[in-house]
Amino acid sequence: MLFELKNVSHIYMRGTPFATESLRGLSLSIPQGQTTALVGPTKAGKSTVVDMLAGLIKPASGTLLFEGDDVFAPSFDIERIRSSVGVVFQSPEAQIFEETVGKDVSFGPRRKKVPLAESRRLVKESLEAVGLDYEDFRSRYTYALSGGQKRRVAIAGVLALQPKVIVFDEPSAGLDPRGRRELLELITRLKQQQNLSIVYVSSGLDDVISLADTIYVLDRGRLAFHGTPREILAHADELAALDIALPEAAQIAVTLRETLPNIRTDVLNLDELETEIVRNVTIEAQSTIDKAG
Amino acid sequence: MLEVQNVTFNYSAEGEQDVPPALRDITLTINEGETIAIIGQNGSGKSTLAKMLAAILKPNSGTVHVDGIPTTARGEDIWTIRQRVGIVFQNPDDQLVANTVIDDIAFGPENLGLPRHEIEERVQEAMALLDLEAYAPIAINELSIGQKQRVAIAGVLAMRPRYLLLDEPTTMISGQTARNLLETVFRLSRERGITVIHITHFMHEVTDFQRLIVMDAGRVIMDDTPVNIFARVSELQAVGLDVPMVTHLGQRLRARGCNSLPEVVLTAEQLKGGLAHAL
Amino acid sequence: MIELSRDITFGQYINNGSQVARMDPRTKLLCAILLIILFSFLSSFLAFLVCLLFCALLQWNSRIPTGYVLRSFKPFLGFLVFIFCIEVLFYTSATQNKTLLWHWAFLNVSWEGIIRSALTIVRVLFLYYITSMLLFATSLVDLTDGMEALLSPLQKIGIPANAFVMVLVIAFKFVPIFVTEVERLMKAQAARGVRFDQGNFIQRTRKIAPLLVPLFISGFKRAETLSVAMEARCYGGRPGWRRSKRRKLSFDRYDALALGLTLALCVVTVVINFVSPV
Repeated sequence: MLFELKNVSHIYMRGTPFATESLRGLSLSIPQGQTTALVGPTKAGKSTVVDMLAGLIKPASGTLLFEGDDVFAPSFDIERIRSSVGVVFQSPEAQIFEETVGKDVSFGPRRKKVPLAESRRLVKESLEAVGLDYEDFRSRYTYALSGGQKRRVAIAGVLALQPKVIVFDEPSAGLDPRGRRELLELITRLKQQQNLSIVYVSSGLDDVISLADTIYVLDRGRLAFHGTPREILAHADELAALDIALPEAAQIAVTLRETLPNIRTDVLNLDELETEIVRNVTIEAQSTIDKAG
Repeated sequence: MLEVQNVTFNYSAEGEQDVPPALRDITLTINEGETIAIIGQNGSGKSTLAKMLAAILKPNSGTVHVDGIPTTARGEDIWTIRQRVGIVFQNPDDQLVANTVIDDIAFGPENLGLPRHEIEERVQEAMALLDLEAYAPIAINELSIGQKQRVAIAGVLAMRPRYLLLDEPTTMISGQTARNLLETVFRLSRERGITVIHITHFMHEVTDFQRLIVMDAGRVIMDDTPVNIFARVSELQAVGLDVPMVTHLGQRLRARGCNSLPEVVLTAEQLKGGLAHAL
Repeated sequence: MIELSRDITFGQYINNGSQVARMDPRTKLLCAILLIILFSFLSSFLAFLVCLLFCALLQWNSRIPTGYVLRSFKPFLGFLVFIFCIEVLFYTSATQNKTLLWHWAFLNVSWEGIIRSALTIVRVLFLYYITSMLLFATSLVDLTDGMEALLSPLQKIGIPANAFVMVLVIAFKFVPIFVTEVERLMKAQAARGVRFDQGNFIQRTRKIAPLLVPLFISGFKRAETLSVAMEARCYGGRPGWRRSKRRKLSFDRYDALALGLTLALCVVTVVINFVSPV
């Protein structure tokens, strides 16, 4: 188990007139080798959890375990978390600060005092993993990159750290449909090729429904419910109450419930939806015939 | 009426190479009272077109006329255009100026130098339209993004514009709040006859608009009703867009023999109706 | 731990509906200016003690948590101590009546030096307090309206005071936005392993540099979008352009009381200043 949060609470802007409880008694676990999603509307506490996973803040109360060790123990070195956890934040521009792509991506390995040859190999592999050609991009100026390229460079920079887990903080926010598709393809590819542990934070279910193994739904600092993607989709009404958008397929299923009352809402994609509709139409048609007959 | 005639525009300065023009030879006309959605990927030029229509940018070649006034006008005329064409941007924090809701909505009318009682009237009217009366004295910092966006729209409406441009207003909002925003915008069009031009990259937002304009690489490639455009799936996919899942679903179900569905399904409601009919 | 928003509290209006918050801004600004002039002039500890009582009254009436206000002094206390030491060590008096406590080459420590320097520090603290309180207890709109009203004679003779006021207002509006942004940038870079809390002074300063570029770029972008949005709402210089105002400012009982008290304080403390030995 990589991370375990037990009954964690946190107060944002503690001691000021603007203080608010960002987390109240939240418990969740991030296992190794899996993709865990944290979903919730704004002010649900997601950013606070990300900050904790990144080793930037400690909870005000409760227990936070990293690889089984208590983060609050005096012997615990926060550096352990920071060097094992890579975070890709919402706006990649914020994470890039070196002049050239090569320098920026190699920042992680350099800090870890990795020897030059090894560092170069890491940079090459990381850039290639995100679909950027090493020779072409390594001496390009970072400020001259497009938004999409910057995003990839930021991810490459995190990969070069060889982290145990990568946290993606609302990475598709503000992207157009094609950008979103490309990003999800990239993450899926990374997941498969590198067997990464991933934590994906988002405000909607669209991205994570096919990506995640476990989804935690947060509401105002508390855990509302959690489960596999299918289990989550069964909570369609509660999700609507929390203003969390259902993925397209499930949303359509919910709308069709009036006409097809027994339709299952835990459909993950178009194919499943189509099959489910056909199945239900057959059932409904049959029952109409039975009633008439 | 907004008239765009052979407009070309490039963001880069003269002499800079390798930067493609943001708008290439665009010609189109927008009539009063229409509801139009403009869709395209990032970089297709849709936001640039919006700024052209609002006289924020001037074309490199070609002309843009707002009710007969060219956007290259100077003096009083340009301010007439500014008052008639209202524009709302993506991020409300970059548009709101004052501290409280009511003060920000009053910003526009104050700029017009209107007498106090008229400012008050317009502010009340705008707040009523956007359901913001209860929020009048509230500090803007305390509002959610969706609420802030409503304040931004109210602030523009207080100018009593004829044309309302919305430049990707739902990008930072999600779910129900975004839907509410669109409903409000349609209501405005119906009740007030305001011409609404909605720029977006979400296909599911455009289904209720009278007219859809699809842009790609600085050109207008389709200009028709949503129903007609949604039928041209492969063309849309060729420029990186796609129809909503409901439309695909409609196609597939029709292929299986469900003929009570319309040829092009725009919304889940239509699908539901079609299926109910079949049963 | 990076929680800048907690520590950087300058200029943040707190909307708690207190009487001080609801005062007519013209009176508030006038009182603030009078107090600033007063504090700059006073040179008696006893006078400042009386001022302290006045400030306590103000603090109580404003209903702003004292802890919060005191924390706003944190960022520059170190700087003040530094200034105090320099002033004491280099103090030279007009009259040569110094009681030297210690000296070494051109550095000296004398009683007069200590007293004078302490006075300067006290003065700075009071000035900062009044300015902070003014900003804590006055909304941006109030500030604009108040400043415009007070500067209107200048506007009439052709100096663009209103535009200047608008610039200030927007600058203030963006302070909390930029603080949040810097915090975000710092977190993003800290997550990449940049340690802002380590290293000597020079090393730490160098780490600030990569934060500045994104901040400036973001600042300019925001400024551009905001100015476009303002122009789109018809804010702008055109010949003969004048803004009207929705709000009416009204001077009432509490304002008269505050102004009266401030004037009374001025009189009392000036008298003490001349009369008192300390």
